[in-house]
Amino acid sequence: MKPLTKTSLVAGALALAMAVPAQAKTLTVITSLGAVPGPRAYVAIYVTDPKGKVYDTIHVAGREAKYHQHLRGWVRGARKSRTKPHSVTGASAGSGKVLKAQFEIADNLIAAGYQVRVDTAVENFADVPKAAVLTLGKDTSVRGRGIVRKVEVH
Amino acid sequence: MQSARSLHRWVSYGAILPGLLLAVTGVALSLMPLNEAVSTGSLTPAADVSVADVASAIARDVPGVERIAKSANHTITADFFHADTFGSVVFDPATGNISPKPEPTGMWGTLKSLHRSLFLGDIGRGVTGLTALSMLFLSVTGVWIIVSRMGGWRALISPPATRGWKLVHFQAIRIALAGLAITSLSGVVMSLSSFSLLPSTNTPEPLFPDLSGAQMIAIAQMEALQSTPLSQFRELIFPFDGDPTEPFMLATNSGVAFVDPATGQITAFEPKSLWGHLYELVYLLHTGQGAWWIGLLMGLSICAAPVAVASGVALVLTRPKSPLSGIKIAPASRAKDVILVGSEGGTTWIFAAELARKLTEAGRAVHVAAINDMRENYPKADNLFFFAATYGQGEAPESAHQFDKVFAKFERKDIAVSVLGFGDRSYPEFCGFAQYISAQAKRAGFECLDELTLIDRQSLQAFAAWGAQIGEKLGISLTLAPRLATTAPTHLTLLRNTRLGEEVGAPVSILRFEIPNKGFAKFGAGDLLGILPPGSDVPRFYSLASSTKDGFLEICVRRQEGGLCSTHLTQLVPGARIKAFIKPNPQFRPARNSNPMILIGAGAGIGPLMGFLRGSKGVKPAHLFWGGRSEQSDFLYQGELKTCVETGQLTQLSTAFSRDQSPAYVQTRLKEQSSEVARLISEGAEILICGGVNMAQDVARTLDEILMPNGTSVAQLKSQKRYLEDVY
Ligand SMILES: Cc1cc2nc3c(=O)[nH]c(=O)nc-3n(C[C@H](O)[C@H](O)[C@H](O)COP(=O)(O)OP(=O)(O)OC[C@H]3O[C@@H](n4cnc5c(N)ncnc54)[C@H](O)[C@@H]3O)c2cc1C
Ligand SMILES: Cc1cc2nc3c(=O)[nH]c(=O)nc-3n(C[C@H](O)[C@H](O)[C@H](O)COP(=O)(O)O)c2cc1C
Repeated sequence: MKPLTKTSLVAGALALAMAVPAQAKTLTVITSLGAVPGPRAYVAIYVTDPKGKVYDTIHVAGREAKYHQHLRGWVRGARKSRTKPHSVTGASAGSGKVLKAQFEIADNLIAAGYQVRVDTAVENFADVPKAAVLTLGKDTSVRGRGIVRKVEVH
Repeated sequence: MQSARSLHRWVSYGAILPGLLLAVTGVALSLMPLNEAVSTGSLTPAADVSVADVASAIARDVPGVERIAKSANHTITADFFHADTFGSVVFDPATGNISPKPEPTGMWGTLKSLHRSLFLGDIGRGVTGLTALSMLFLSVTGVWIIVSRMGGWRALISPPATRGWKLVHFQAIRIALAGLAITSLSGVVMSLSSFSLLPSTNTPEPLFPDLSGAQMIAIAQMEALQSTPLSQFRELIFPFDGDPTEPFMLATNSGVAFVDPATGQITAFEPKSLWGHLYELVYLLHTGQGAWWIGLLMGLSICAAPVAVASGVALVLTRPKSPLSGIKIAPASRAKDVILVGSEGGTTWIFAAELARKLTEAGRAVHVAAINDMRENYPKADNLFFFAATYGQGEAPESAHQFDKVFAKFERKDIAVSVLGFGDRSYPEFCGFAQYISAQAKRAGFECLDELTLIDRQSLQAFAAWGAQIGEKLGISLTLAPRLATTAPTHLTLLRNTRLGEEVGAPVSILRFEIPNKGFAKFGAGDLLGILPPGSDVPRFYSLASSTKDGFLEICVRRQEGGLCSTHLTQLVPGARIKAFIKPNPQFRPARNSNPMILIGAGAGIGPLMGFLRGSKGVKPAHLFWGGRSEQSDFLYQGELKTCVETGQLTQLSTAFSRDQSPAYVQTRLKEQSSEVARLISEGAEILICGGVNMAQDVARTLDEILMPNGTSVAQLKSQKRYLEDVY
């Protein structure tokens, strides 16, 4: 699969507002799914502050906007930060899928305990907000829940 | 009107195939809610328990439960994630039983996706959405056409005066209309919503609460769940994997709430929007999910849609071939005589074709066209004939809607105009449209070939008389005998001829004929027997006093001075044979209810009234007002009427004799009993009148006087189809 690249405008704007030195890193997040029951899954991969406020959306699998509300943690966190949960979308994901995406983040935010979070939703099953939570600068790999087997960041 | 009709027709051609598919799959799917209700036992209402009871029972028995949901059909399912696998079970709140969720049967799913998207994904969903929109359009224009054609909203509910395929078509449309209008409107809304063209109907999550993060209390102890009855419940989402930073999410009929697992209290609530409530109603009406009987009703109603389509096709196929076929029609530019036709049901064309045929046979160049197609000029023409029927409330029939426009453009004034009106005296505006044409022609200064002539109920005699007179004017002999579509005449054998009234100068016969064979058309009292008298092609009509069930054909015939047919008939002896056929007359017939009927007639007019009395078998209280000349001489059905009074089949008999000691007419008797008559009418009685035109007019005037204090009138009763006349 071709890695997805994303340059965050929000990151830039926030960085300016907070007058933070623009020392940044480009990281790759790899999300591995286990068995997906039934139809394909919707997945949101995003960056939040330690309290869950969305700072940046890295990737959303699943194109139909009306199902995005089932990615609850993501929608919720975006509401908190008053950013529109702009979706960087690709196809919804089936069993065993590995989603790779790149993102850019300032060093000081990594130091502040910002997190990469993954939400999932599968039709007819419960939505799983925070199926995986990986704290940047602390973990490089965490086990997920539900259909998420593992999330790694390099 | 014209454009609404052609739009209606074109849209229906376009929507017919997908429309039928949606109707058929829709009818099948209408059984789905009932099927689910039966198979999950949710036909019986949910037990009176709280969400706390249900959720704690499920949490105890289903490890890893993450979500409990109640479907629109009240089925409770629980989803779990345990030992790395997902699964679902069904919970029965009445018994506490947990069973594996039944696999959705393939058939329903297949049907549903066929109905939703024709297996064509988004394109199919677009097609079905547009089809629903077309159906909605057809329902609205269909109602509009019925209402404007029949001249009122009442037409939608009152019984139609037609038969055969037309009756099937009309009834099927009426039945299908309710279901079609509701399901197509809701279908359009659902389609727009599925394309996100309408605001979202989902209640958004409330703002995420600050949670204490403390130890979770037992589900059974959570107050928010205890206070929510199962009837209000929609969905409960557990903190995944017992995550202490996540709340419970509880969706109910009224909105979405977060519940703090540590306190069991609601910490945030988002009410469902008005639009959300509305959409649920739309969904309920369309799918019947949650009320299986609504599904069934819709399904039943829509069952009639394919019947409407099939009978519509049958109508088109069985439409008789053009009455003009076989006649050499001259082009408009060369015609001497031009016949312009205003017709809706088509019979006026048959009359026009007969005139055209006979004029052509006499060597004249004749052109025939619809009034709507009137040219700006007919350069060679001497005579312009308008043959015009009337519809609605004295309005133009379909083929004459453009009359004002085309007539105003007509260039010549030196042409002789003749107007022949076709109508029905029982409508308030008898031949209203022909009268309008005649007035316009006079106003525009046209020369008149003859005075306006009005033909009641396609009377062939009146038409023949008009033809004879026109022939004289044109200097040719014109014998007009159009063949209206009827069954071929059959020979009938006379069983009995009861002759009365000779002494008082009103000879009248009760004639009873044998029903010739099993295949003879079914008939009812009030239908007409068309009789072809020897030496004439023009049938005479007589109202039947019996129905097929009585086992004989009976008519009452008054001998007219010099009358061809009536003289022949009244002199017949048993065993004699005549040529006759049945002409249905469904508009003259008592309603099928138990309301009283007031029967009014004079002379031979008693015929069909006697028939109604025989047919009602005492179900409808009957009051008969009948007038003759002398009790001793022409009291028709005297014996049978007395028996009816004795058995109670006839509630009241009032006779009036004009040549006896104290001369009286039927209207005299009506006046004497005005309070009783008014009472019966206010109780919903219907009035059926049969006999001569003069008698009918006197009766109408008298009844108007009687009804005035009650604020109603004959015209109003007529519009309610409670005042029916058969006058001649
Ligand atoms: C719907 C309907 C229902 C009917 N029901 C009945 C019923 O139940 N019982 C019943 O008795 N009748 C009924 N009639 C009337 C019936 O159809 C005939 O019209 C009637 O019997 C006269 O027909 P005839 O052949 O005897 O007279 P026709 O020969 O047709 O003559 C009709 C009248 O015109 C006069 N006449 C004939 N030729 C001329 C002429 N050249 N110039 C001037 N006058 C002329 C005759 O003297 C006669 O009075 C009904 C009519 C209709 C339309
Ligand atoms: C729905 C309907 C409404 C009618 N309204 C009137 C009316 O208002 N006045 C009238 O004289 N005849 C009325 N008639 C009778 C017709 O004008 C008459 O039957 C005529 O002969 C029909 O001719 P057509 O078959 O060429 O249309 C009506 C008939 C129908 C079916």
